[in-house]
Amino acid sequence: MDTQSKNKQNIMEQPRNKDQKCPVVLVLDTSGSMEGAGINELNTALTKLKDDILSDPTLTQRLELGIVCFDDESRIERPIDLVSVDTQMPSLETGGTTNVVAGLNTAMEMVEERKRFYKDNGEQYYRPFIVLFTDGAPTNTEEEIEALDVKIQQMADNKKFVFIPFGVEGADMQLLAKLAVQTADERLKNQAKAWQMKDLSKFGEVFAFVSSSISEAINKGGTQTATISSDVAQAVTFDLGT
Amino acid sequence: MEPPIPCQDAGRSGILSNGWHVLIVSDGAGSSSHSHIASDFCVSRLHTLLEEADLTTVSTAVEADMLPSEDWHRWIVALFGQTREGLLRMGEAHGYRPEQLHCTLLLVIRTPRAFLCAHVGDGRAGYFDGSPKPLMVPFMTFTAGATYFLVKEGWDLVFRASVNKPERPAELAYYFVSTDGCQNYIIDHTRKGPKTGMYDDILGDEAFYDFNMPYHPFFQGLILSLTEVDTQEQINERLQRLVATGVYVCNGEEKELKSISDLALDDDKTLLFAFKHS
Repeated sequence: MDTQSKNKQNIMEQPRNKDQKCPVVLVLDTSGSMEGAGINELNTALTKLKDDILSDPTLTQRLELGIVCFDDESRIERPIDLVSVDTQMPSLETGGTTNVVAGLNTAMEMVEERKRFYKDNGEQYYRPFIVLFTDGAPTNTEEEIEALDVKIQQMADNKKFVFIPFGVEGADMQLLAKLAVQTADERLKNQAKAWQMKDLSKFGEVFAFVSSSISEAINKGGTQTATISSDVAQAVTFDLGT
Repeated sequence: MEPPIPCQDAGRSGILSNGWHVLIVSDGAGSSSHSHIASDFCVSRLHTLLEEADLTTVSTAVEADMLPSEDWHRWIVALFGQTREGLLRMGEAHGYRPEQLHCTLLLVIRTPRAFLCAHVGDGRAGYFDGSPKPLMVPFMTFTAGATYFLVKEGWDLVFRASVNKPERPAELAYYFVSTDGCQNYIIDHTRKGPKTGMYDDILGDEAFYDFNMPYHPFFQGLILSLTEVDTQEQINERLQRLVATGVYVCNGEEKELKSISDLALDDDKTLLFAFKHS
């Protein structure tokens, strides 16, 4: 290599480390009550989410997206993987009841399996996100919901993942908030917070908030500070101590 | 509009009364509201404790090449403990909870015969004596960004200290200590492993180890750039430009370090670096 070419080479820089991924699983309610405007808005929002991810170099390299749907049962609509130009986002259809327990259990299993994959390959990862969207009350038994609550709490307390629930219109917000509580933090122990979307048309904006939050967290070395506008979604807080 | 988040890193360097060169950095956790206060307190407090300490025993042992890492560990963990106690007292006086004061703490002391190192948490330290070498193994898990902090219970189990003697002291060209924000460009990421096992007793299979070797071309290029000029003012100007824009001058040409210039990658970065100017 001649001297001129050597000078143009940036001798100080190596290829950036692209190994650290952030797995995100969207857990989406496709029960009968989502038929019509709800499922249409959801499908449109998923297409926009792909565009948002591809327009962000950090997310393109780091965010691995998985999609789980639930109605009578749960289905993996998209395994956890990077999003590329060739990615075909699923076109969701509505089903029957609201089996939230199945949806979240499947999401948690997907996350743990992906983490095993990272470890087997010696790759660090950012704390996974599980983001739930539902428009109704679960049709699970009380025992099933209680077991789910305990499981989510234990895993969130142990920082296995970040769990964020969004409710739409007819959702049981108090239940969502209860599922979201973390008991490891004394300040939050008797409080519970879930997010209520303004209406069905806000799916796209909420997805954008989630992806931009993750991008910011990755770029700031793991700390997320993004906020969501109140005309998109509002935090709903319950005091579980009373 | 929310006020900008202050830099949560802190760094301090100085020369002790016996001529030893001290480098200290601390990285405040992004999730801790007052970690910028904590990191600043820790580097200042530890530096003061070192200045006030009776170094006779340690100094004599170092001169005689008779300071095992275990003895150094016992000596320096006491000063880290005092730093921690001071931090908690300061926090209590201001109404800060311990979880609002999360920060790491890394110390490197250059003596004529060896490097004395100690740290809690992650970050990097290393040197070059004909080949690049690390001075510590950061506490890392598979979860990126997760580490341990001085104020947490059990910090002394995570605390590590070591005495490192360069194989070729006459060829010592540079040494450094850094917070993890710099590790994208100062550590060699072209290779993986090996697993040192240093934190296996605490983390089990959650412990993450990378190659942990200084990326020599970065420091080589930086030294070349800074030694091209003659005055301290010119050196400072080049450093400031590199920090502000990621642009450096080398062999008369301007080049860009994207790892620094990319504004999206704004994790706090602190690098204390000493090199031989021949």
